[in-house]
Amino acid sequence: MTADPDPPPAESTSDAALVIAVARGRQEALAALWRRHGGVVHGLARRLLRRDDLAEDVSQEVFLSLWRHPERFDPQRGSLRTFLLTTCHRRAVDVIRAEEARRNRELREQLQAPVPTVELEQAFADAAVAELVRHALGQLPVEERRAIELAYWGGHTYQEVARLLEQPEGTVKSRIRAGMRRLRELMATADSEGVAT
Amino acid sequence: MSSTIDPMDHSNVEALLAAYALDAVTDEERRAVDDLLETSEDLRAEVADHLEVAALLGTVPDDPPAAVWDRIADQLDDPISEQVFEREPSANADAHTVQPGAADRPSEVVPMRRSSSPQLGGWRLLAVAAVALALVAVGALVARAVAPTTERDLATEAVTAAAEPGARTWELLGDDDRRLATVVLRADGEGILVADDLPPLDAARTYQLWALAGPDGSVPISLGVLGANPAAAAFTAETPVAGMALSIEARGGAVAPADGPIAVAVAE
Repeated sequence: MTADPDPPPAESTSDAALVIAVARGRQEALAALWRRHGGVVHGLARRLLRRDDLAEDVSQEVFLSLWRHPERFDPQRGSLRTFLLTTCHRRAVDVIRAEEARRNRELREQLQAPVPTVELEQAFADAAVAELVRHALGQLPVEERRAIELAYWGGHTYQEVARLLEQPEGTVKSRIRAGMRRLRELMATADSEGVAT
Repeated sequence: MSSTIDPMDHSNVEALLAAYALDAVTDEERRAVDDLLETSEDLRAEVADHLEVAALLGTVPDDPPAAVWDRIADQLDDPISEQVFEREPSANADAHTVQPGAADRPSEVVPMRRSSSPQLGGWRLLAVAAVALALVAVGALVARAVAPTTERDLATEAVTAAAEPGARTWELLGDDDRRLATVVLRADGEGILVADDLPPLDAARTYQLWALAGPDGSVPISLGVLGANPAAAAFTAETPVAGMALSIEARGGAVAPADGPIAVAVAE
């Protein structure tokens, strides 16, 4: 008996089913996941690294990692998109930190420049989820917002953020945690009120 | 300067959870948080919440160059031992049992079209006989109604089960080659169906899952009634199974399929 050629996965196939297929070597399943999530992964990498070549390298690594280690994705701990973006962010931060000279230069620049609020808002302008995020970020106390932005978008440790903001490390640590909790609540509230829809 | 952290100081480590989710900690602190997370489901849940928020922050739609996918595709056949990362996202990475060898891909998946596959002849020829055989086979192949649980739990379990030693996977394809459902059967006979693209039925009808048993896989034995709009379901098969089939039956299910299956998959 001859097996039929594997058909392309349906667009409605769940992420979990596609990861199962990836674990069994189905390249078209990885291609489907790339079509579904490649854009946001690449977008995050570009936003963090600000260099197309590095962003492409990181995007490639994220999906090759999923191909080679699908077992690292645990659906019980979050969605596949969250997993891919977490992987992307961590890898991009590694790249940022590995380029010590460039990072130091950027730190100096950021010490002299305002927090990139406008740029952040512009980057999010077109997507509903971006509207949700923008709305929530706008309601955060400015100290919490700046700490989160410098940590997430700048790739800085909280100790570096503390130096940038001239605040005690413990204060920054607390503000990041409080801000992230508040963001979650704000986004949940905004979502239920239809802010992003 | 990086502060030294005492891994035994749980409150201090716990205060790092949000920074950890933002990758805003040192490697030493990351390890301390990883260790602490091993001890507390509540803390893992908090990190999961932070990671979810971080992912929303990181949702920046973009249109990556086609060349990026080309580069990925070029490397899909590379040896598995080639490592991409030295560091991995531990907050969402340590609970699975899927073996890296899963990528060795000894595939038992044999997707088959419903209308043109020769196995369907066997199904149809033996459909009448199956009525009797299904009754006889109850003692040999005990099918039970699928156990209702959450789709997410079962999808999670299916990912894990698919790569276990001896596990088999069938992909049930519709007429137009859409994957209707994926079925994973563990070596111990416990199985999971995950619906990929099953259109909801009216309330008078139900999907029903069948094991194809017998020497040539042509004897359909019910594994369970799935309902009119299934997302995922668990079942048990207690005898060798050659393949899987899915049919649409009147509400309540049937002892033998009343009509042809909407999808069949048979392992070689």
